[in-house]
Amino acid sequence: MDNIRRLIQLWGISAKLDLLWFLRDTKYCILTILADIAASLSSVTGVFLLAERFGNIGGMSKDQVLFMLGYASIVNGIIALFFSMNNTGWISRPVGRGQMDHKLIQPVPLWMQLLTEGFIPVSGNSLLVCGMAITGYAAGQLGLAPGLLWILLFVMLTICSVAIILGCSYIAGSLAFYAPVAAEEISTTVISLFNDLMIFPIGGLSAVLRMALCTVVPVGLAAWFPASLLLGQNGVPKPDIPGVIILIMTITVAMLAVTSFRKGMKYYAKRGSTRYHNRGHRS
Amino acid sequence: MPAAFFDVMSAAASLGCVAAAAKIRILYFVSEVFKMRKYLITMRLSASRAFDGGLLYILSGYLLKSACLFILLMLWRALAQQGADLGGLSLDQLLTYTLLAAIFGEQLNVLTPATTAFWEGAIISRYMRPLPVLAQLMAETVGSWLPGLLLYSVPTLIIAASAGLNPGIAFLANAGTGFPARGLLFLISLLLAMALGFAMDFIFASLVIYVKNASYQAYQIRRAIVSLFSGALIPFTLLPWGMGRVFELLPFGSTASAPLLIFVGTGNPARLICLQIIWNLIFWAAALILFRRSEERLVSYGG
Amino acid sequence: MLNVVRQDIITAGTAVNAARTAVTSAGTAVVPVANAGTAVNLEDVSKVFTQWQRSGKFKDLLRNLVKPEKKVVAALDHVSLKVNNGEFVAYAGANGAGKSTTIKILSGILQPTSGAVTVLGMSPEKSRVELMRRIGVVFGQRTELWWDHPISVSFEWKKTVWNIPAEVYRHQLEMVTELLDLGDLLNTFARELSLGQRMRADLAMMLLHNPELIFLDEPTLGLDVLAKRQMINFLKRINREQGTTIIVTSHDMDDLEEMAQRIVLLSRGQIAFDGSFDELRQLTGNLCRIRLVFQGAGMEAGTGAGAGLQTGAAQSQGRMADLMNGGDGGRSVRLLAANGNSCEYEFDTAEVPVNVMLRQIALLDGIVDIEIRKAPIEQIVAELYTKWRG
Repeated sequence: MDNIRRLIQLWGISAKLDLLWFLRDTKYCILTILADIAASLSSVTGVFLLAERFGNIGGMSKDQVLFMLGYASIVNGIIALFFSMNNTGWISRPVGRGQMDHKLIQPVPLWMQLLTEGFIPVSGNSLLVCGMAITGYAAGQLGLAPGLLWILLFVMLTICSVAIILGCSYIAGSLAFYAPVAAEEISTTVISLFNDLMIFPIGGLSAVLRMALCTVVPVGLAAWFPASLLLGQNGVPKPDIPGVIILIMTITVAMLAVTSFRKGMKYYAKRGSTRYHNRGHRS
Repeated sequence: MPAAFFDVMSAAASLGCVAAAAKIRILYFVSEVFKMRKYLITMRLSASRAFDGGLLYILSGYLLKSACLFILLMLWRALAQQGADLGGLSLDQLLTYTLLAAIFGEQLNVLTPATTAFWEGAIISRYMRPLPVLAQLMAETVGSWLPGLLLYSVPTLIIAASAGLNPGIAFLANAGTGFPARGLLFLISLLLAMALGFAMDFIFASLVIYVKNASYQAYQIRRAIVSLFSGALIPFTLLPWGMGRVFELLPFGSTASAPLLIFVGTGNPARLICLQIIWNLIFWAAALILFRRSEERLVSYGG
Repeated sequence: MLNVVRQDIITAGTAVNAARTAVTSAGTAVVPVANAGTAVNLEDVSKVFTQWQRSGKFKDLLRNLVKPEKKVVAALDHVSLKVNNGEFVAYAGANGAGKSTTIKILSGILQPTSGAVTVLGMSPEKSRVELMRRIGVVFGQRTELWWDHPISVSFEWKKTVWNIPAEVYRHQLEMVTELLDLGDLLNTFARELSLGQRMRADLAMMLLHNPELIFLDEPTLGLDVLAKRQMINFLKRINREQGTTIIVTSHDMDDLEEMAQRIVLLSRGQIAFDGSFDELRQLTGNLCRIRLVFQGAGMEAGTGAGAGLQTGAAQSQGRMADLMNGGDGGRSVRLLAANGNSCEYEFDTAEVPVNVMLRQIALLDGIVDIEIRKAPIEQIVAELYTKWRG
């Protein structure tokens, strides 16, 4: 209970900082929102145009592709909303730049800092809002009538997708403990990999490849698989991979992320970092 | 990590060393001729930075890029298998186009250290060296490409060829008897694309200085525009409503789509190269003017 | 050679300590603060680092990729150190001596390779969160301030994250605002502050939770004379009035001498000296400097006794030169500089007591001014560094 109260308290102060920043400089805030909207729209536009051109790609109709793109934007929007500030989602950056010292001198458990420090509910919500709008529009076009269970499933799947992307970012990002310069941007590479590939409907690939993309390189679990599950609840064909795989993969990736990050922190405590750069820290 | 792996890598590294050493000697010869040694040493330092972290760490980034490329290739294959009209491109051409876009990824989307140097306040150090600032930035950028070309582009080409996707053969097949001319045109187009990329990056850096702490947002907008309008990720021919024909005329198309289309043999080289030259003239003029105008601000903010 | 006077500076601060108990109780456990006892204890602590070696040659690049060449360096080599509550300790050493490593180990950021560390009775490794509620750390090169926010917003953030009770926060904020002259800066953005202002703001932020123990790593680096003075006075005051234990590293020995009662000198990861500044001076002899101003014509350094003496003043200078060259003072008197009518000499009071020196000077004609002072601590330490380097 104490932990929950502390989490809310810390999210609160992050929100306050973000609001103050937002109110202080209208020009930059508008630029931020425009940038987020441009980034979110452009990331989905390409695939949407492909769907428009070909009518049906990867076993999905144009509107189903749009629904999947909306889901992908929501997932990316949640990451942007909760894990942007101080690069908490792009963990190889603070690690590679030697900024973990700043976290270690706070009287707050590290997991709590990582969960709360990145929260920017005011300046970082545009991607999520865009995603919700796209999903809502697509759901309307598809004639979906979501019930409570469906909404709960949607929330659960979204959390799983977010956890998988962040987990992979942390697994790769832990390399920055050992090679701060070379691996500084490896989390960015991982997240870009997801951003670039999660938007493609992979239903047209072979069964082996589909399975690989839901396990070995789990980009399929970031949007295509959960979107297919959600659409499958409404009479659209389900993917031929058992639904429980997303739960298993979430737990596996999360455990690997925690283990590799802890191992990295132990290494950091032994070796420290010979590098320090303040870029991206509290700015 | 098994010892055998290190042996193989050591052997590969030694071969790479010999090749690289030979390459560097040639470059030094050229440098003596053109008095470019100062730029070459800058390039070498820039290139060597990436090698300081160990093999595992540098390769992990390239492995991720390879995975991305592989999946994209498979997606195009699946699209073709469902009988989609690829807008005049054959599947081989489409795959070659995507492969080339990946292996020349850094050259087709030029990112110099200029913007980062402004964020970090490090641009001032470039003014303290007896070299033109823009030339230093270009040398650093070209140097930073070398590890990628050596450790990602070359292996990717070899692996793709062994998997039946050989851009050289596809190129020859499409080029027909006009190979030498087309090969030359591709190289010219690639150089023009890189030159335009540099100009665009300098313009971007000059503008970013005016938005200071929103520079990341500006970068996001740039990334968004480039990913859609350059044609590097999705070829223009696959876009609906004839959008590709419009995008082809825009400057971003000249930075990526133009040389790729020339390579796969579907673009009109003369038209594309002319367009690239025009955009280069316009953007370089703008870049030089804007950079000069921003210099005072750059130095005071960056210092 | 341990300092014996360090207990003298400990003063009671009932109200402050009550506030500290409150801060601590805002966390998980109530830990009363005692004035006596050990604040920091390092027992046989060693810390070994691995450094990657690079030749910079292109032919070595790929080999390094596969099998990087590494070198093992001992940053701390069996260091044992005890700091009592209320002490103000200067922690100094040449570049790479291990100062920052020690501060990071004491803060729980780094773990020692071997040995035991206790800070305020806790293990920094096991009780990091609890420890951070009771200590403050400032790395002079880094800032804890939020770059794009006014200082007051960073302070508010600290209040929440450290869970500082409103009463303690208000009290501390008033104190630091007044003592560090922050009134005009509170609403200024961190990115718009000068280095001196930023350091003051960082120091103020560090003190908001009223820490019992403070680690300062190079806090005066890059500060101008005025900013440095403000910081030194402030630190001395909180140490004196609140009994706050302070461990400070710096390369500026004069600053350290002014602030601290005890100095610990590190050399190649080992404690080479631990004691008072006076004891440190004795290591290289009790060197003093004397500056004499003569009437009339002067002489150039190194001209010796017979350089065309024409006046009484010149003769006096010649007599000082005789002292230097084997007179009563033997070779313990050394001419450092001569500039016009002014000459500066250095002598060891162990060999030439000050009263003897003054008697000799009294015999000289034509002296219009005399100034005697201790040799600068910078010089002492520089000589020691050179000696230790061997």
